[in-house]
Amino acid sequence: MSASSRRAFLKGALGGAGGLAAAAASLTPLARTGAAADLTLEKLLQPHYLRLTQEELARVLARIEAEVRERHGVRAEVSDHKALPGVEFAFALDVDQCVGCRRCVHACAVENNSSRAPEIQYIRVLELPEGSLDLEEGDHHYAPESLPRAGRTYLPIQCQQCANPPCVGACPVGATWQEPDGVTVIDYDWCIGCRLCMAACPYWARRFNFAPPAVPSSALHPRMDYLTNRPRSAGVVEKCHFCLHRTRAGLQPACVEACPNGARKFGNVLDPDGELAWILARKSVFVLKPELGTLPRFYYYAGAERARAAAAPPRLDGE
Amino acid sequence: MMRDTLRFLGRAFVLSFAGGGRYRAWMFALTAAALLGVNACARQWALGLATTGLSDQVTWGIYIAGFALAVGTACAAALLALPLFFRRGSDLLDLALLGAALAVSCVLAAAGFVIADTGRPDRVLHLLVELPGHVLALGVFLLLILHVWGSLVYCAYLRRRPGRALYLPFALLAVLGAFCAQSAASFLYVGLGGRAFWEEPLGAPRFVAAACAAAPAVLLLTLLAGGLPSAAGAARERALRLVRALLAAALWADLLLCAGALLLEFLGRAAPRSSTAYLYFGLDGRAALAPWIWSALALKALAAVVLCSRVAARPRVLALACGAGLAGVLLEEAFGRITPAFVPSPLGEVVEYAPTLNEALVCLGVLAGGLLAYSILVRITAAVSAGRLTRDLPPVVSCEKSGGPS
Repeated sequence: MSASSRRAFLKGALGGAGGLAAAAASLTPLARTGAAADLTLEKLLQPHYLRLTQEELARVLARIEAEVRERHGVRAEVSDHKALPGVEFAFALDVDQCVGCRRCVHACAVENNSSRAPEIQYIRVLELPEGSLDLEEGDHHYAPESLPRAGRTYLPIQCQQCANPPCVGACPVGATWQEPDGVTVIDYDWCIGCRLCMAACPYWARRFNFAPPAVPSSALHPRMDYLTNRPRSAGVVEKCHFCLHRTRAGLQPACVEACPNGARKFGNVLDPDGELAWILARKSVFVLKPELGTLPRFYYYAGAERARAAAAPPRLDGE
Repeated sequence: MMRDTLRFLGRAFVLSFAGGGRYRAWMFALTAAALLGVNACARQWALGLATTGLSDQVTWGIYIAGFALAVGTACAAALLALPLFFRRGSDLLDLALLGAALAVSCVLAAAGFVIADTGRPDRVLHLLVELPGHVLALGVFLLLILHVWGSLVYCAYLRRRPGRALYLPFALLAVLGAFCAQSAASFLYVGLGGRAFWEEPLGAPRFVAAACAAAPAVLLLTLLAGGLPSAAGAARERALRLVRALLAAALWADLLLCAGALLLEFLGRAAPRSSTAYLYFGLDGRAALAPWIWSALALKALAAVVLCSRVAARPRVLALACGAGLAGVLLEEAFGRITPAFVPSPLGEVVEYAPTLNEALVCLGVLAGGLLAYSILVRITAAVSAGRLTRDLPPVVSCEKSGGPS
């Protein structure tokens, strides 16, 4: 080996080693936070929720329970309530009764183990000039001394559980779908976090876990469902699911229970004697952005008589 | 045969590391930028997309913009360059090879942008499970172009005339595939209802025009940087003229369509849509995107005018005009195509977006990675077609004047 080729070889080896070292050094953030350690082969190979066998599902639920116990020291019960036959859930909201207190917003976060810091809220309440439904006129961050303010209408908006949901069609991996009882759900373990569904949603109902969600262990709600309020990870999308872990067990959603004025009505729209059927038959209900053809299952109505007396029908959002 | 191929690959590998000072400096800079990007990406994966400027309101930013532009540029490169193969006896085959190299590297960059954008990159394989057809089609497109490029380069290495059946059918298929992918990419967002900004009749043609400007701009810069020393004299002049004409035409088409869209928006409607008004003039006193879009348009207009004037005969002016055009395209795609659709939000909230440093570094890294692949492919193409890399000769790597695109 000549001196010059030896020098070339040494230079090459040195360059290569330096390059590899730089490449390894560039990856240190992953090692430092232990983000990679959380990945197990079992999780990587876990199939889509709808393709899980009974045994696989039981194993997954047990794994989630173990993770909650390890991370929070809380003995959680993770179940998987299935849709009941003959049930289609719907929501009705009396705009005249809503005072904009946002109790529903916070009850929802508590019920659903949503991240507190950064805060993730499924419900956004808009303060609008009375009689207007032009969303671009809405104030998202109203904070007056006392509520409600005169001359204002309050409009809480959450997932509208569309019968024709644009988000479901947009998801490239089928991680979000409509259940037989009409509620669109998300498999948090299948979502790749591309946020196409968020771009497709005309109601801004979906939220993304930009950072690892933080819920204080003391505030953790231990009754959990796979598709609803079990702890989520960073990098996945979530949204309102009509509290399926409660409603499929015969309870009301947390936001309905929290509302001090009874503005929120929830139920099975297929039950002819139910409250929802009564409201839909007797009130002039409206939905948001009907022109998009999304067919929301979330109805708004003006319950007070004065609204009925007002000559002008509700003005719908123009966009 | 097998041994020849392996030897070719080995020599090509060595060649991609060795070169003149300019080439090595260029490759070193690209590697450093790519590693900075990897580091930023690792930080993002560890801490979440909170490291970006994205929010629940503005869920897509420069990653998705980069993805769309990379797909568009790959398709444009294939659509514009591969047809050069169809003409018998053309002296522009090298240019076609350059176009193929650009298409391949842009597909790689597009994949990089997708992975950077997902919140759970560890689950990116779910795409393969759920959309095997799409992933397969993308892979086949990549392989087709790689095959065309590889078979021609390898034949030149063996100093053998390639049979037309070896590459022409594949080039034709790749052009068809590029046409389909270009159409799909340009209409990618149109289907997302509820975002008025994307319900824009001229949106898709404007995207195609921008992509068709980006591809020749990169090719022109490569030629000017001496990336193809083989194409000397008349052939080089012809290649330069062709690419310059393509770039000018695409830029003018882009500007014309943009003018049409602006007229339609601000004069043809009772009131402009909120997102468009926000993009160009701001909304509620907030106008983070307006400076970008106006600089982009100004750069494009400047490039378009200069490219059609006589001063562009001077290589330095031509390179500057080309750089301005490319910068204009990059700026408009980064800030004017995706993000404005999210402002205001569907509930009327105005939340602005600006990329963070980490986000910009990730983009820089992906671009550098794509350029690394491109530079290596260009270097091999140039060496083979100049006869410096053949089966019979050991590669001459030390002292020739050469460089990548700069």
